[in-house]
This record gives sequence, C-alpha cells and structure tokens, in this order.
Amino acid sequence: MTRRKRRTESPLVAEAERADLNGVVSPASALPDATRERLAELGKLEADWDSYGALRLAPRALAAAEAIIDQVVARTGEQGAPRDIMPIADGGVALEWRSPRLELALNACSEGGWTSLLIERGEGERRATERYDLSDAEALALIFRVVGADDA
Amino acid sequence: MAAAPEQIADDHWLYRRLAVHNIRQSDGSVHYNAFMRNADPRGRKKEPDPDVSVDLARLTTPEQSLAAAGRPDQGIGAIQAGLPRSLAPGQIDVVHTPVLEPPERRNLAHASIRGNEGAGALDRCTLMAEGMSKSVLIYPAGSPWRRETGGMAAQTDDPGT
Repeated sequence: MTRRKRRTESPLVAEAERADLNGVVSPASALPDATRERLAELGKLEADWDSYGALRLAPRALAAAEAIIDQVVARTGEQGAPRDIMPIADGGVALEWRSPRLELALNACSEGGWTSLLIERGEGERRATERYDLSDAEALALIFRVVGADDA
Repeated sequence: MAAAPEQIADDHWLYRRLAVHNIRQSDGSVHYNAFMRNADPRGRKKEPDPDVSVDLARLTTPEQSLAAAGRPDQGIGAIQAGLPRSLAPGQIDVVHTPVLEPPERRNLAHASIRGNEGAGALDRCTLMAEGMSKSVLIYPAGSPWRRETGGMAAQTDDPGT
C-alpha cells in the first residue's frame, strides 16, 4: 500500500468551507434529493456504526464528497450522481459510479485527498487499478472517464 | 482450559457481521467497506483490514454469532476460507483464533482473515465483498433487503452451516 502524505488544502473542500458547509450538506448545491439525503444520513452516523470500531465520518470527507458530486452533476445532470455513497470505517466516504465496462470506487479520505479503485471489465477479463493521494482534478478525471464513457 | 485452534480448510464457511451501511442501497450487495478498518495502529490510515474478524460457521450459527457479539440487529454474510486465500496465495491465510477472555466476550468460533495488505489490498476487499454478496444469510435490520421488512432479499447459496 502506498504511503500517504498529508494534504494541506483541497480546492473542493475550500470551496465547500467558503460556502460554510463544514461537512453539512449545503442547501445551495444542485445535488439530487436522494444524494443530498444520503450525505445527510451519513453525516449523522455515530462512531462504531459497523460494530467493529468505525470512526464517525470526517466533515472534511463529507464536504469533499458533496463538492465533487456537485461539480459532476453540474456538468452531466443527475445521471452524474454516484450509484452508491457509503461510509468507510476510517471516517472517509466512498462514492461509486458504474458503466457497463467500468466500475469506479472513489474514497474521499478523512484527512483530505482521494483513493481510487478502477475496475475495467472486458471479454472474460477483469483489470483493477488502485491509486492513492489523488488530487481533486485527478479524481474528477476518473469520474468523467466512467460517466462520460462511450458505453455509459 | 485452553481451546486448541482448529485447522480451517478451504471449503469451510466463515461468518462476518454486516451493518446496514455495509450493504449497498442500489442492489443489496455487500460493499467492500465490510473488509476495512478504522485506522492502522501504526498511524497510517486507509488500509484494508489485515486482520478481519470472522466466525467459523461449523462452530456456531448465524444467530449465535450475532448474539455473541451483542448485535442481534446486524446481518451475517458468509464466504468460504478458500476465497481470501486464493486472492493472495501464501500471503493471506485464515486461522482459528478463539477468544477465551474476558468471559463475557468468549467466542470459540472466532477466526481471522490475515494478511490483506500491500498492493492490491483494496481490490481484494472488493473481491471478498463480491463473494460474500452471494451468501448474505441475514440482512441487517433497517435494510430494505431484509426479508422481514418485505424487501427484495437476495438469493443465497447454501453456506453449509
């Protein structure tokens, strides 16, 4: 596993913080209702939600997740919303997009930055690529590769 | 009296507790977060869990597994021990690790999936979750997939309990 380096600032999080989000879903964003409700639900999770000692979700991760979804939806419409939004035990937020041949899991890390797992499926083939310490721009590029894929 | 650890064969089934947020809302499948932990004790985060707690199915039942953990409202997913071993032969193993103390936490069925770390660990979490999705024996309370709630409970394999 790649060693992580601490990030100091994320443009998406900074944008969210300027909007006074602080991890709480912004009423001003253009998120689909289901996405907004899911993020709000996850923001209320108590510690140990998995019974194995999970942490509460980090406001920074929630804000980053909301901000990046907002950017995608602004460009693609509601079809750009993630298929699933899930909590991670370390306080991160996992976002998932799928097209017929691509599956993207993107984790908003609790202390900033993104981790990704891209699975490409072909004729009897499956190839997985893990990446760590992604910037917002790199994370967005991955999303648009899936959302904007020809076979999406 | 100590309980001697038992050998775990590849075809032996393992139970893992599932919280409602380990189940995808979109299709009822198990999310890979079921195989991740809160933080690395060495201070590094984002690691898939290299020591996943499970119960050995032949020494318990799904209901007993939940009761022993004091989590009757959670769910139970099952995989065979050969699955995680096959994902990283020689690196990942499944070992019987009975819990004897304290008495209120005693669990003779406890076992551990050990060694899922390093390159590819996150993908191996997804593969274990995909395997477990075929054998969700009990969906957690609050999940629309739980039979008792009238949701669409997924078909499961027979985990040979």
